[in-house]
Amino acid sequence: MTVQIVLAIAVFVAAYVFIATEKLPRVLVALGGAALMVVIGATDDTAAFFSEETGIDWNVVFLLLGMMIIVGILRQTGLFEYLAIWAAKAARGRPFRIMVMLIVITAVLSAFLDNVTTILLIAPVSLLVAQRLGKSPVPFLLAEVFASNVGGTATLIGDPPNLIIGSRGDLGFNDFIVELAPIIVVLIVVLIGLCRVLFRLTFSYDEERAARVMALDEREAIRDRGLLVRSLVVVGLVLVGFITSAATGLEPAIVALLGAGLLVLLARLEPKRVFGDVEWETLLFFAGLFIMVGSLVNLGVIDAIGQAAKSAVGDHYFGATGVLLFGSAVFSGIVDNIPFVATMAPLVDDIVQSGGSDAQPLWWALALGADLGGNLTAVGASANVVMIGIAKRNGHPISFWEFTKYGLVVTAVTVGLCFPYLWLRYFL
Amino acid sequence: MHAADIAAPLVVVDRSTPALDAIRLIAEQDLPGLVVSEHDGHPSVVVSGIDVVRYMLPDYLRGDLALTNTVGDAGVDDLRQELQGRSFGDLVDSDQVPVRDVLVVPPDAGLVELAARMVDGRTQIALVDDPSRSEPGFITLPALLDAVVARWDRADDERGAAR
Repeated sequence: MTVQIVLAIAVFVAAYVFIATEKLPRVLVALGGAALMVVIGATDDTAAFFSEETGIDWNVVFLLLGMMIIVGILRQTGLFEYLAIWAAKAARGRPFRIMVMLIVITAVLSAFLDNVTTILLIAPVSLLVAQRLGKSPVPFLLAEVFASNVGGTATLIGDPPNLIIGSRGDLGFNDFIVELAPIIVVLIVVLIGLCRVLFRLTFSYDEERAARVMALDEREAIRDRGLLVRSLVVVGLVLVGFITSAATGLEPAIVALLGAGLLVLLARLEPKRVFGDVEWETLLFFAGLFIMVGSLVNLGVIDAIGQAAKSAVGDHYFGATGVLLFGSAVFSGIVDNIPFVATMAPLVDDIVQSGGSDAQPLWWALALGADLGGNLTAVGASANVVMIGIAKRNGHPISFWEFTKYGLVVTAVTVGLCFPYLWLRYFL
Repeated sequence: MHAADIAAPLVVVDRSTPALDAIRLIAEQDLPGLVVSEHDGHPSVVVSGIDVVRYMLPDYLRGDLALTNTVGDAGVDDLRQELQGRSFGDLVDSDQVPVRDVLVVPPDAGLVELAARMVDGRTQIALVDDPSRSEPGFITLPALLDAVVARWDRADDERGAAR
């Protein structure tokens, strides 16, 4: 092992520790780590900028950018507030029915939007509805963040780790829908049942309080119907573009960027409102992370670990799928799942390349474990951190352990159910 | 004209004043904000009117304008319900509300100096440091602008008379 390899591994591990402990902003750590990789000669401009194996995966970065622009404009239409209040009223102000509706809406939205965005959109309405019901909003917020992490697993664009998996594994929008959506539907139904038990003290019904929920006027949420119609047309076109991606040859990133460009043209909003929701820090974090992982690929470190993993796995793909599923869930529950998946993706790619279709379930085990594992602890997913922040600012602090108490149950049950699903679907 | 000439008494609340009473004071007396006194009665901090409104609104409504449209007039009743039982001290201690030390100005400060000091302190209320007064005298932004406009009017009148 050369000094250069040792230094590169040291930089990578140190960056991981800083990201996991959140001692420094993760974007600074990722960019700083990438810069050090360049300084020690582990990568160069060609490897960093022009190779998706050893550098920045622009498909992921631009798919995220396109979706951020689209969602940023769509959220200004008031559609999400309309939907959530309509759901609460459709539930006739009955707390459990409201929770069920919000879980379903959150899960569906999360499948197509970033989880953090979904929570930012749905949490304010939940706080309002809980206030009108005279209930603590905490059970509603917890149920929604769990639904968000579960629902986001269903599609290529639902959770950032899926973008990395899709790009590395050459898996399209339809692959995720076909392979993961069925189990996610089951898990949402199970989550509803779990919430009924976990939050059973929340569901007493008060007719007077219910009437206050019914007094909310969801139609008032939408002030610019023209913008709403234009946005929905573009979102529809983008979804069609994703679904037909294999047939048209248009990469999902191109579809998202074309959709974003079209919506920017149609929305005719000032630039601040168009690009205000783009999380530039997240995009830079991805870029830095890809360069760091790519440096290890460049130096042959990932290949060496991949060879060792291949020898260890042999042709025991069922066992490897189980280890990857549960290992990813535990790891992602403790540290950010994005760097974890960015590191694991080249390894899994190595094994799948040599194992062929028999090894393909490893991708789905990685996606399910990494995405669902986010529910394990309060810091397991960015959406959890954002939701806890919103709850605190509104006078309802949720401690790390209070979250984890519920998260542990939800993660154990959901990840536990994925194991028989993978077995039944791919190994029976 | 100096600070001492336009200073006037102003309502001062203490930390135990109910938040709803404090809001009522701002509304009924058209105040730009409220001065809060310490236990010894000495004015210590100023909370601007807009920051009192910030405290009235729940965080989840401040960040979601589409949602504010849906609550209707019943939303106003919700605000009152939420504030019931809270004191102005709760507001002062809230990390959502920027609270500024009361700006103290010398009694001989001129109008331009007063304007500059209030802009610098980003406050619409200043306390005049005048021991000769029996009760604290304050300058509010409207009072300062009244004095400024009055001077402009006097200058116009004098020019008109000279012609």
